[in-house]
Amino acid sequence: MAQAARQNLRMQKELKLLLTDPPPGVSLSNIDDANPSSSSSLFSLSNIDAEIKGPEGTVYANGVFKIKIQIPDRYPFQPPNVTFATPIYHPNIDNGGRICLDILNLPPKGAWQPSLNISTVLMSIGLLLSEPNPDDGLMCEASREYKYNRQTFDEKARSMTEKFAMSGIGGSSTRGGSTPSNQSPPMIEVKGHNLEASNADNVSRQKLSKVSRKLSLGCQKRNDGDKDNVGIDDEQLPCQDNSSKVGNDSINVIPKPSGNFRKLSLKSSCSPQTTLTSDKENVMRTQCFHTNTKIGFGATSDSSQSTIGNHVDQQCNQDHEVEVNNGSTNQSQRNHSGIGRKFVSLSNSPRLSSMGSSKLSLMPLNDNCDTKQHCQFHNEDENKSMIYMGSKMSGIRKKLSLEISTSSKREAFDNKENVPPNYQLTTESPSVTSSGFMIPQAGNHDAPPHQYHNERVANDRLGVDQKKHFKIGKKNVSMESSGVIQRTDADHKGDMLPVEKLLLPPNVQSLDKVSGKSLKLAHADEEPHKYYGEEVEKINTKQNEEVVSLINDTVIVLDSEDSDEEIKAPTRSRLSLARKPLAGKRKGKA
Amino acid sequence: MKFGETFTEYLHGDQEWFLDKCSHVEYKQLKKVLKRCRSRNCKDAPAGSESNNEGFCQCESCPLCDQKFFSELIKEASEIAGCFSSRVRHLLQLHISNGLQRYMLRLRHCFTNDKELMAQQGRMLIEYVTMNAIAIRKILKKYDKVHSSINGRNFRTKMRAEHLELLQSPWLIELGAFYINSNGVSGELSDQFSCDLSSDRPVMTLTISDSLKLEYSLTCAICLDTVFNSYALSCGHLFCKACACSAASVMIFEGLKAADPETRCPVCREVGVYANSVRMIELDLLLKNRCKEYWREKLHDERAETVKQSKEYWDSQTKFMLGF
Repeated sequence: MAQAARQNLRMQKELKLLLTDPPPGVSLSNIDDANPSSSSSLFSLSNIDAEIKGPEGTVYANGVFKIKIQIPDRYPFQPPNVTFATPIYHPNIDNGGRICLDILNLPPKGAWQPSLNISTVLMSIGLLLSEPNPDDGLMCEASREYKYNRQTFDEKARSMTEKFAMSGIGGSSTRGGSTPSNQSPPMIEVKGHNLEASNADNVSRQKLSKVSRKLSLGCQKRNDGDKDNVGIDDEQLPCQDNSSKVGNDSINVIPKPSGNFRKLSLKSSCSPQTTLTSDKENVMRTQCFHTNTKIGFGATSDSSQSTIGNHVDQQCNQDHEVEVNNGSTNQSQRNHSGIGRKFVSLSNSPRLSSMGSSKLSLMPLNDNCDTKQHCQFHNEDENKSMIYMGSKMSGIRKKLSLEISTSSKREAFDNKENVPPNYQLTTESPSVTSSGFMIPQAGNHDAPPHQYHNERVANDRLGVDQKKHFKIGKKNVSMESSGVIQRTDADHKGDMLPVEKLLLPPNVQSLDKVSGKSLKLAHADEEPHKYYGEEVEKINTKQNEEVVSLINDTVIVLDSEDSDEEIKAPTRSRLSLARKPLAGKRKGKA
Repeated sequence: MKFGETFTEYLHGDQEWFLDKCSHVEYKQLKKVLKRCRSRNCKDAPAGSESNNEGFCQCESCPLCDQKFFSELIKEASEIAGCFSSRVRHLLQLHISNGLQRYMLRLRHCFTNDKELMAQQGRMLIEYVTMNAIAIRKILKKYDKVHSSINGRNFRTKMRAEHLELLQSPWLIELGAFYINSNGVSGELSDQFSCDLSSDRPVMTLTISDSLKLEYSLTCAICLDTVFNSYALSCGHLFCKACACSAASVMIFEGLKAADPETRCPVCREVGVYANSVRMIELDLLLKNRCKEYWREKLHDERAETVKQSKEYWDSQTKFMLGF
């Protein structure tokens, strides 16, 4: 006890000394509040965090390095344990922050003396920063570079200093500090991205802006192309146009973002979804308004929106929704053959199913034009899409059918696909919605839509539509599965928002569903049904819209591909397009 | 007045009886050596270049001077240091010893009384050591001036390394403490020694002249506190006994002399300084008088530590004996 008391006394004196007369460039970070003079706890006395400024005129200038000092039990007679918490490129400091300094070791090897103190230790560390000792290097590479290739050493050290010791003191440096040796810089960066993406939808959207812009461009193009067909309502159709016209461009775009963008988009989409889901109730109502407004926008400002990524997405969604509302299912789904469609259809499908009766309410919002357009689209697009779908889908449908409980119905419908386009169109939307829902919503949303879709499809719209949806659904599912996996990964990483965590269980459910467990789906569906009650329609639409908007990045890409395929080379297997973005699983399925 | 004259006056003053028994710096002779060196240089260069006119030896070291001068000086210095320490020890023994021992000592000195005589002796010793220290300093300065070299300064550092520097001797601190103690009792304030124990950095100040002040830190470098039961290692550094013992990894009750001869001074890393460590009794007495509370507290701590250590030691010993 006497020993401990003496050590405590000495530490207090030392800290007092450090605070009143610190060595040049050194400041204590955690002691300031602790009142060293008063008997602060032993904990704070045995662990000291100091910050040392890189000496001027060296490669470490302007950097602020965090230093952790641990006081051993026999302190004055044993040297303190001093490590760098901030990664630094220095011949005598290794990746773990350990410092090769003689006064930090006991006499046989080192030169520690009980008369030395923390102040002198910090001072000699400051000297070590300005005068590395490459002859006794801890880091072979660094010391060799320091000796024989000074320039590269300076560059590396400077970049490390900039990366970890400057301005980002709060963020990166601390992060690195916790496990400086283990974490590689890229990891940290990735995390940062994730956080950004998850935190701010805006940010993710901005990042995605490229994709969205491209999509928007595509939308514009589409509008042009569609004008002929649609005539009146180009605005609503933009998405389709884009996909078809931009086709090549969009395809090119897709692979680029595939890596980071995908992840980002998925994460971003996930985060918003989660937020959406969590806020569903609140959002629902607001969303309803939004949707309504959006619809209005779609009618009026589709062309103008194309420029802005978010707007475009929204517009597209709106368009889809509108279409769905107008055509009740046929138009939007057909045109949007791509994932976008699927999502839209998914979003729409709940509406459709639930809306059935309530479509009218939405309808009024939409202009007559929309309905007209939809009709036109339905006719033309339906035919085309039906044909494509029929050929392409057959394979996929089967797979999808297997996956989905309602597959049997769908299969039957598949056969029907060849039959009138209207049927298919109508059916498509619900089926798509069902499959699509699963994917984007991942969470609670997924379950409800499925149920809706299944039920509705079975009851109202017959199995025909489902076939088409199966195709889309498959794609979506694959997308979803991959996306879900990524999301889950992201969740595990902890980058995802808490909301996502809430969603996770649903995601799992969705995965299970995908695997073909209809029971689970039904269970999940029940909850949402309760939820939706009357508002279900609105909510679904809203959710869908939101989801779509969030997912838009990914969806858009998919859409473009699909649209391109359909338009340019309908015979081409959508699967191929889908494969690109999708994981190997998809390929296997296809 | 020139220092040479002052020094001569001091040597032949009223304290001659005291100084007869002590060696002192032969200031005059050393000065003569330097003078000869200068004059010889002048003879060597009669033409008298600028530098020679000034009487300065151009060579960095002149063998004749070095041989005589430094050997003489170092001999004298060591003699003075030895004389001083033995005298101080003798004086303090008289002062510190108690009981029967003291009685016996007094008996030997024929009951010459004490306090005043002792205080006077202490004062004389202080004067003696300061005068000689100044003499050495001055003669070395002169040497440097004559030879325009830095050998004098180097010699001083060498002296300090060999613990011949009079003003760095722990005995001087001891003497100072004694001086303060005795003066404190008699109420007559000393202007030469003063000590400040209340501030963060306890110091003892020795004022030799207006321009020359020496400060002795009374802080233990290990516990950063005022030294308690202090020991001075032969390198002149002060530590608490407990601190020094744990730094040398010996038990407190074993004492510093038991330390491994390879153990280094915690401050200057010098080897073998523990064997000749000196217990600063007078300083401890001073502390006891000046800061009673602190002293008592420290005493308590040290005793507890000592008891604990000896307990552990004997526990292990008995275990070892019993074959555990």
